[in-house]
Amino acid sequence: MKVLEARGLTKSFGDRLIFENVSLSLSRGEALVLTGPSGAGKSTFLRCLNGLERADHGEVRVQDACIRADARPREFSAAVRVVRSHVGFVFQGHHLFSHRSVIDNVLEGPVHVRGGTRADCLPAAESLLERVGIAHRAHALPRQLSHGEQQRVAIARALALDPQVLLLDEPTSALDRERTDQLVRLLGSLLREGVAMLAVTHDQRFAAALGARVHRLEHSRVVETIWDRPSAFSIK
Amino acid sequence: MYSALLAALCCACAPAQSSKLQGLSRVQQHGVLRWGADIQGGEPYLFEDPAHAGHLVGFEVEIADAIARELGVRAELVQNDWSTLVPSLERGTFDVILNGLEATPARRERIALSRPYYVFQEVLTARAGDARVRDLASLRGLRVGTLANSQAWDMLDATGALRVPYEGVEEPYLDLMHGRIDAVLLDDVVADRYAKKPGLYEVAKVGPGEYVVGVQRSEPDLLNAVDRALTRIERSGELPAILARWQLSSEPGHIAAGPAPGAPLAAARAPEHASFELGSHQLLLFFQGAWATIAISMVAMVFAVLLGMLLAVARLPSPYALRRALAIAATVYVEVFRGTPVLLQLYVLYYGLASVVSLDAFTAAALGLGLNYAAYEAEIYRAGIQAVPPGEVEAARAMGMSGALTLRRVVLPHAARFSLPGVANDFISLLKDSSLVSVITVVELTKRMTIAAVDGHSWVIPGLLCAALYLVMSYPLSLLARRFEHHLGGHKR
Repeated sequence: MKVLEARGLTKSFGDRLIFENVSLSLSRGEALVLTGPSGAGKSTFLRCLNGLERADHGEVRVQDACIRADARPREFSAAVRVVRSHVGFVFQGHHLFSHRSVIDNVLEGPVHVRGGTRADCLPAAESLLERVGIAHRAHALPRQLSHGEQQRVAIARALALDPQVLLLDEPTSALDRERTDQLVRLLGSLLREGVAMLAVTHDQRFAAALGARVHRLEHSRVVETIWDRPSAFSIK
Repeated sequence: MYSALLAALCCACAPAQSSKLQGLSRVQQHGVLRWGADIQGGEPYLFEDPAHAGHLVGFEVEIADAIARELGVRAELVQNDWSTLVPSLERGTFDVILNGLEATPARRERIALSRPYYVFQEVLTARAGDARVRDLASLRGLRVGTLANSQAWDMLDATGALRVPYEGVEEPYLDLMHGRIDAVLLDDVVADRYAKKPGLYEVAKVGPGEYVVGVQRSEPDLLNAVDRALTRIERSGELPAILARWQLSSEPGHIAAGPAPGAPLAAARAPEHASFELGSHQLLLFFQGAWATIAISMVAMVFAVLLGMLLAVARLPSPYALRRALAIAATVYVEVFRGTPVLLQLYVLYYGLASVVSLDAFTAAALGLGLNYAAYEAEIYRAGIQAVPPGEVEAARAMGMSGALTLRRVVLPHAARFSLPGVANDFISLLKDSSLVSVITVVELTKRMTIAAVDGHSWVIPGLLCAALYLVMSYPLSLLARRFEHHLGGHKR
């Protein structure tokens, strides 16, 4: 069952073509890694999937909603809203709300986007923090956390809206080996629960550990590829 | 500059209707003759008795009382900047002007003028030893000070002199002493009292003029009543007695229309300078002025903050055509209100629009300042909004927040923190800019200070008191702003 399907996505900035006619899909519980040279447009592709960036052509389907590149502004934003309610996004820079505490960052979606009461949403938010291993910093402000801690809060914040798909931009770029392993264990358990994910990364070891299919974006095209010796990097 | 502007504004609109009753019947119905005058005009016209702060004395106070008594009512002073007496009369702020108003052809065209109650001479004053100043014709190219909108002001127009306008009667002579201007042309009533300064001398009397009472053109019955009253108090000897009491010549030629040529003018006397006394009553008046300043600033600031926020939000980029049109409208608003003087805006609001919306002075003052400062607030918020971390805005959008929700939950909290120092700064600046509203007849702290200073012939103590009161008002604002900044999470960044 496809939870996300991109068809014929094309994007250019001015006369510089970033990618052309890219299609790919994600099934429930599936992990996919998008790799390629720096500056090839991997992050732009990721941002097109949830409407942060508008493609020139093509469409993105999630559930019943379909973001069409040629839609009028009102239709486009309506579709984007539905897609975003199913798709969580973890930024490379995390972008936590710097004026709110860790727990309030996680509660922001359930309370203010979904309209729940704080009291109702608090237990779930706390167990999410527990799950990503940051419950002890619930009342800290983002700037008081390390990079790895901030990332875990960002993941918890995305998970708080029960997404079917998680988009991750360079999730391991600033993590050491041990932190990467922790992340893989967390993402692995989410995969088993049926969450699909698409990560932009160069990290072969990470991709292998997640058991991800690998796509490569180069020269404006995306092709499925296989890294050499992926089994050499298994993580328990 | 403003006189031309005012004339244009007031030609463009009909006088405001202050009530249904007209003229004499309105005055008698209310039992009050409201007379417009500027307390800052000083001795001997009308001024605060330095010994009894708040108590007005002067020959015009006595003439007003006498006229009112003849009409069977009591007189009530309405404070108004001297240079804007005519437009204020036209908009119905008071019933008559009685404040050294000279009968000039321009005034005769706009309002009805009574018979004169005093005939004066224009006196040209210069620094001793300055041979350039001999008569009106010699003034071409020289800097000559006088009251804005006075008869002397008009007389100077034809001479080719560079006219320097003043609000008060003492300042031109001080500037003349200090060499900032080359001559002063003012009424002998003023010159006899204020020109007696070291190094100054009277060059010549250059022409007569008449002080008259101004009445709205549409109220001839009131004009007739005033004329009859003036004639009666002249015949009864009351008017000459008043003038004599104030050491103004009470020769018949100085009262009747038309001056007697060569009539001896009041002998030059050094004015008896009563000094400023800081009594409890004077203090109370200063506190009242400070309260007016605070009240106007607060109302204006609340208005400016709310309107500024709307303007800043309206200027955010948007894909929708309607929102883009709104953004353009907001930009035009900001540029117009930021790009024109707030004084001009106050004049337009109070006088220019008087026939459309007749605001009372306090409302016009608070609204005018608020409209002006909203433009500045909008720019501060816009800068604050631009300083919001773009990543956090994206994160909010990515989790499905609408534009409005993102604004409320992420953009505004950040922008508020970035903007607060600027807003507090503006509030302090507004507190002081509120002194401008004295041009639309509001007596706030600075106006109170100038009145007290002119009447008490001293600027030091009133000036210091005024400055101290402003500081007392503005410093807590600085502290409050710092606390807000901290509270909003700006601890350290």
